[in-house]
Amino acid sequence: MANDDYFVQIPEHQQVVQSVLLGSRKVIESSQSYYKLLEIRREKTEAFALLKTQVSELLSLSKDLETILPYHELIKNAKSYAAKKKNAEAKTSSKVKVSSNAPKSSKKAHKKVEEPKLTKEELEMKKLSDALASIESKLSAL
Amino acid sequence: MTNSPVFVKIEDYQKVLDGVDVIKKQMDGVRKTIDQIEKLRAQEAEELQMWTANINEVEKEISFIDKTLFEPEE
Repeated sequence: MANDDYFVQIPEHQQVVQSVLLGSRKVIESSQSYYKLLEIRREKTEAFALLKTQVSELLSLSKDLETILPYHELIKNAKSYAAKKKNAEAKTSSKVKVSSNAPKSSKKAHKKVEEPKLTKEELEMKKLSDALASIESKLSAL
Repeated sequence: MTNSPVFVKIEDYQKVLDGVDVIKKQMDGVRKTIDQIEKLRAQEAEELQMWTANINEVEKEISFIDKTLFEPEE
């Protein structure tokens, strides 16, 4: 009696086998799809790196163009206007960053406030927005 | 002063035209790269959708097997 083997009947065994095989096939297709996805993401990363290089080149080309544009009073005025605007914006943003706990009477608090350190991407974005602002001011001057 | 006509040396004018040409070509390159990125994003979304569909089907098969094997016999 102790050595008797017990068995369980599997109902609809053919359908169970079919389900197992179909499921295995889908798992293999998913694995293949995963590797395709990895390849697409790799290509996307390369495309983004290329885009970054192209945009940097474009920025340097636009700066070169600026240097070869003829010097004129209009451009000189536009540059000084852009510089003044930039200084005014910098002063406004530094005033906003002063904490509310700082003593109101002390004007020196404005000078002591340090601007938060920017990441590399933020610095590049800032450069791009400054370049854009100067171009827009030149366009409006024209 | 602002309404007076502006004259530019022809050599400088040519340099400006050449500079603008180079920038236009660079812009074309940037446009192509952006189009390529958009295409890749669409492919990625399609693959993910297919993946999700496959996983759902596997889940269905597994639940059928689970239900069939563990149904008590009458």
